[in-house]
Amino acid sequence: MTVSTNDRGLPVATAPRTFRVPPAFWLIAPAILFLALFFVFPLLKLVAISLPGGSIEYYEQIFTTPVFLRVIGETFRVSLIVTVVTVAVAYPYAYAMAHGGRAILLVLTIALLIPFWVSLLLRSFSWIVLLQNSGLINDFLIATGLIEKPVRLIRTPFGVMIGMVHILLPYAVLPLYTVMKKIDLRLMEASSICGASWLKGFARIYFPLSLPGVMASAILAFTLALGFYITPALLGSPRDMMIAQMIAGQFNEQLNFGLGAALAVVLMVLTAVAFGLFGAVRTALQLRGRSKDGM
Amino acid sequence: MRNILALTAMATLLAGTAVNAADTTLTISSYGGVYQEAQSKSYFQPFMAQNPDIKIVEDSSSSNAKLKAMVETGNVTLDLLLTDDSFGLDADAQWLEPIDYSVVDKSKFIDGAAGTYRVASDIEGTVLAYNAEEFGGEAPKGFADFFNTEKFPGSRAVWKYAASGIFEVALIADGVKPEELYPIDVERALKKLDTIKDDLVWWESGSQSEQLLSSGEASMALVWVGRAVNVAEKGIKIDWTNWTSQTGYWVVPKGTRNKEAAMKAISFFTEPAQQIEFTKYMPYGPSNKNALASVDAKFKGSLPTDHLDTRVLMNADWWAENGAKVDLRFQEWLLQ
Repeated sequence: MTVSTNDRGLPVATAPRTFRVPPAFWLIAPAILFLALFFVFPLLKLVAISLPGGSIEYYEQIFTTPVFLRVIGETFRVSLIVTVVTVAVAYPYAYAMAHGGRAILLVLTIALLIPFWVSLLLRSFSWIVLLQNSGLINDFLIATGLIEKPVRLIRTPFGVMIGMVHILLPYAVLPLYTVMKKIDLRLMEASSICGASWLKGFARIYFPLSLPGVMASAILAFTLALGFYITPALLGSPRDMMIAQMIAGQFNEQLNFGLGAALAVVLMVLTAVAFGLFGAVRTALQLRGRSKDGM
Repeated sequence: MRNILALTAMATLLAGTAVNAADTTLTISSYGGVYQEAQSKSYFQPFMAQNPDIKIVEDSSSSNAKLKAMVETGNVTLDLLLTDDSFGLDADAQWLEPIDYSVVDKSKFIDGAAGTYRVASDIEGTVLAYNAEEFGGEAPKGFADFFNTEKFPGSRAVWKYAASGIFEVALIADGVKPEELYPIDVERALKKLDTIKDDLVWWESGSQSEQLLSSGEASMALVWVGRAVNVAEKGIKIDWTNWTSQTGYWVVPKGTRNKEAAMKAISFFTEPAQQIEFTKYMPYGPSNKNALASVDAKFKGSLPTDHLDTRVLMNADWWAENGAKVDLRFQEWLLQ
């Protein structure tokens, strides 16, 4: 027996309902089965490999070895910076897509999606061609006489940053665009009628309305950034090593599956924690927004 | 619908005849690219011509991690794999079948090429390659010059892998005799590497090492000899004063159903005729001592086996025992 309320808000008793599988379930059942078989099961297997005979030795090793802790810390630091930069670049881009008219939308969408279809490896290699000492950018700067000796662009934190931001940009732009497209620009007109400057209107009206998009794109960019492997390997120096490179090293070079699996599990758990934190911030922002609106 | 049924039936029949034509299918995994093509031309195809009952199916790219996972899960789909110095030692016995020396003639190999679980396929090397245009006619001579950034300025490209030979190179440059390298004095090597740390550029794939040399990013590099030869026309030369050993080995995963055929194949692949044919396509030397004198003229002089007297032989057993620890120290040093 369940208790629900009638239209006057008074509790009424309703007849017990027999459990029925919603028809929609059968539509997603193949997807669930697929995930269970090819994602959840291997994942559990990975956890099992990281705990040989129930022993937590690999986790102990991770948390007592400075190299691992440092690389994990560095991974989060780089991912956070990359996320901030990506969202900052994506924001005006998405704004132009949402409100710039059809021609601009078309050009910007093409510019965004065509590189998106090119493999990640190829894009990272392309950046080498552009950024290396004998690359296009340095050649151009030397030819124009702006610099005499090549500037070191590649194998620096800057190189990693530019590569990662470029690859993450579509993921950050698309959620922002979908949110911004729904924002009613007449609200901005109304604010300017009331005497607010464009900047004030943007800060008080447009930006708060676009926040869900900002959060969504930040979450996407951040969680993807944590797992980056090829880009920091190709465009960074060894000092810019990220955890995925260490995991690969343990599996491929050291053949230490247990330690590699434990590192992967640590990354996964920390990612989940970060995801949860983002979610909490988002909820807090939404609640604040509602209470301000008096709802 | 009827068409589909007919097609399926035909496909099944065809598959059936394919299986009947060869009794045994031997699946071999190598490193792909021009290297595997060369092996296919000089090893695999002649073997199939001589043994019509054995069909070779090629797979790439060989990986020690994959072999280990395959044996551990009891799903052995590869019968013969190519591996590097770091694998196939006594420490890896749990994943490998011992080489059957009643099928493979142990006496035909050069020193160190025939182990309990592995047999050398070819003798490779990591060499000091340099851009001849960079140093105004001067040429580096030996590992000490690799550390001489005054006389030979520019970036140095090195494989980002602790057991790549970089520790050996640093110690020899620091005055250690090749026969006294082991046990490796890790801290001494890192101290020596500190002197050129800002000039070091790390590569993680063979193609990347070629790119660094041919683009002029690096004026010197420690690269696999095949990669150095590939960019020879871009003015890249090899200094054979010192070089570190590197070897391609055949190994047979434990539990394969085609062990006999695999041993037979190893025996055939390491015969002089096949190994000499291989030197037509790749600058890697033969492991069969009876093939050494008759290698093809194409890469004569660029084959590691033409320079065995200056080879710094790496101690794979020492690395097997200490590799994990040294790797962590190496990673830590990289981050500093």
